[in-house]
Amino acid sequence: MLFNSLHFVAFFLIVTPLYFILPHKFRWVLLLIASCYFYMTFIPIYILILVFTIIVDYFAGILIEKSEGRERKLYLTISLVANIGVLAFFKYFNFLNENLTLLMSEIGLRNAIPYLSIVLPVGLSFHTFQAMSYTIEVYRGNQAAERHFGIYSLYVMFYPQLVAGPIERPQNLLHQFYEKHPLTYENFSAGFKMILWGFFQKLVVADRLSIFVSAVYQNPGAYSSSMLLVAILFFAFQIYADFAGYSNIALGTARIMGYKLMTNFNTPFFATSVTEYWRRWHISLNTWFNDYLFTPIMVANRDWGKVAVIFALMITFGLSGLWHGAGWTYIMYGLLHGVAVSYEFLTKKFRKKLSKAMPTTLYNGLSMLIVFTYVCLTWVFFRAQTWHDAITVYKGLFAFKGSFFVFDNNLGVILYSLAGIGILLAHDVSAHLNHGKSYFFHHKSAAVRMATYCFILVTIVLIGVFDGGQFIYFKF
Amino acid sequence: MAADHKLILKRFAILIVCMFLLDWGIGAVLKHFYFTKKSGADYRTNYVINSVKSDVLIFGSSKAVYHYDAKIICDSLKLSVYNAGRDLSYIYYHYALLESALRRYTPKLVVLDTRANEFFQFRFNEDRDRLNVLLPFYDSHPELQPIIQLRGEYEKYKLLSKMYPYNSLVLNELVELLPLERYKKDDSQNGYIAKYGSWKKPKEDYTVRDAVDTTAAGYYKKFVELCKAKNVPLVVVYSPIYQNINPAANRNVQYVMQLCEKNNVPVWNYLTDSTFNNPAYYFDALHLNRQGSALYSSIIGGKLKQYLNNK
Repeated sequence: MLFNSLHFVAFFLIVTPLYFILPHKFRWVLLLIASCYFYMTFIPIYILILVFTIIVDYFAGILIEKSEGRERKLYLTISLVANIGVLAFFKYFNFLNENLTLLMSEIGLRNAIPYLSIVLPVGLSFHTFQAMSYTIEVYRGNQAAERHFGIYSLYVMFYPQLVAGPIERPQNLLHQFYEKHPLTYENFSAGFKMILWGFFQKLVVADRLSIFVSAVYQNPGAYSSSMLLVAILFFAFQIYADFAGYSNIALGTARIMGYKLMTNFNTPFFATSVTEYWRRWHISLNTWFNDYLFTPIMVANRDWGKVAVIFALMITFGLSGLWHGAGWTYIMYGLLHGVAVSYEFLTKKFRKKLSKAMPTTLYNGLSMLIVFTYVCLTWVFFRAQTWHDAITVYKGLFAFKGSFFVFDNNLGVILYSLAGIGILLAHDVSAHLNHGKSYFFHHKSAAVRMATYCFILVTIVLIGVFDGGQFIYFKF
Repeated sequence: MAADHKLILKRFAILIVCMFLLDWGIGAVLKHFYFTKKSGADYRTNYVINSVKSDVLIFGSSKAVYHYDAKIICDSLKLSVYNAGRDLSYIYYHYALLESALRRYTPKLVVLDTRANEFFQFRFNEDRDRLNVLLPFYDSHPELQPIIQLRGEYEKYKLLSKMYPYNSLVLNELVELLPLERYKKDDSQNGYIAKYGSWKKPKEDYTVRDAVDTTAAGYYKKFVELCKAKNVPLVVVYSPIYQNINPAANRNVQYVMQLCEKNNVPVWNYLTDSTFNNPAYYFDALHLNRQGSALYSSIIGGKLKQYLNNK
């Protein structure tokens, strides 16, 4: 079930009132049934994967808590192997097999391992990472093992964030299932605003931009440099609006029921460094990698000094790229960010001096522009279907070939796209300047707020794309 | 708590009322502009559905729009001709327009320009999505409703909104407000639009997949059968392309050939016609330019005349 479907609207309009009608002690049952239904609308049989990891992690958590020493580590390892094993089998098997075939053919051998013909379970990378964060936190002693099997299942399966995050931590989410959440105006209003803005991001910006971007990336060799540039810029806004839109709808849906999920995006295009960009983009994933991968690697190799940081950064960003997809283009995307963050780490003092020598506004403005440009260029590897396509885009972009712009058939798409981006930026600028709260959505006048809601709704109906596909991050 | 509930209900009720009024008001304004415009593809769609009375109607996608010069064909046949083709339209659209037109009158001849990949299987039903151009007619033309509902199972609920039919058309409506004369009159010649410039690239192989989308094929069959049921002579034409294609090995083409043979409908195949094996006649690999379409229209006009005389 896609958030951007009337199916979900109907689902939401049934589940949410029922949630408030039911006594508190039965609410977890409703949410769990609703979450199962939500997940099973994709490929029903894949619920068994969730059941498997839930059972393993539930008992692993209890056993970790009860045991000591090497035994604790053993149970943690079992949990991690089960989760990573499921992920590796469904997501990375064919990628590994393909590379093994290439490697063996180089030395004249034939790989007889057959390829799997299976559809990747929706949101697999998200819920396995969330499940792993639970057992790791129990192991570290930051979280008590959850004894209530239903509540633990709900922690993994809570439908607003089941298929595309945010990747929650047990400390933030588990206790909320025990708390009573009455219907309050504050929660309803905050949740409604997030959902409304999420739909705007998805339908007006992301799906509109995808029309142009998909056409260009389908056959990048056929487009002029200027068209490729527009496609690259548009994709940055498309993926931001797509994923932030999903996150906003997820956060808003949960918030109306009283649950506060972690913020996943914080105006990332206003970052003045790539390091800061990663603190603002897909925050739940990046803090996950920071807590469970980067920091442990860095600490384990702390004797190496600065090299340990660079080493940890490259491993973390490489795996972060691989997390997004089983392909070398994704790994390259991650590594390019690893290189940028490493560069920033090594030039920290120099950049600080430079910032003092220049007016703050100019320095920040230039930094934002450089970061945005770099991020846009790295997205090419993320979006291109193959390594060859990515190189074609780069070559075409810097060859300065073709006419400046072909307006035939594109003018409408471009104008609608620019209208969406304009509103998106206006919202983000006001949020950036106002501690994360956009000027119009949080205006003190109820009339202005109401006018804003109406404007957004009218824009969605008039220029939203209602035939758009699923969210990009669903496939991860 | 109760105060919170009241406040939520109050604010929500205000929002619903505001949106209802806005939807109704903006929808009415857009409807006015849509149905009074005098140029563009939307105008021509409206004209075919509500007004056309021409003796000969030509249906098809962009190939129809750019290939069939209605004036040249009209001069050959001495009959009125209207080119009802539309860029980026598919068989569902052609069938919808034919059904609406046939409810009003019976033309003397229908020509259906067919693409070599007429029943192409789109991954995300892009062909059915393109039926959005028919949404403004949903309320006033019940015969179009089943076709429009091919867009999705929830389409009828979306169409409760008065603004929704003009989704993605609002830019076209705003253009109407501009004081530009070119937007105040029809930019086509009875539906035909000339393309200028000539194709410079070498002839390539036709590589589009030819798997048959059964729903699209079903509507093609309905198109043929509707003409037959209304006793309207139908001619199916494959107009030229500047690509190497083998129609005999194309499943789409073979399906059409068999269907037409069964229904005694002539199929004229110009996909490999040597007359048009010249890039100077083309604007791009799939579309004839002004020069090419003039030659093609005169050939088709002559052949149609012969066909009608023999009927």
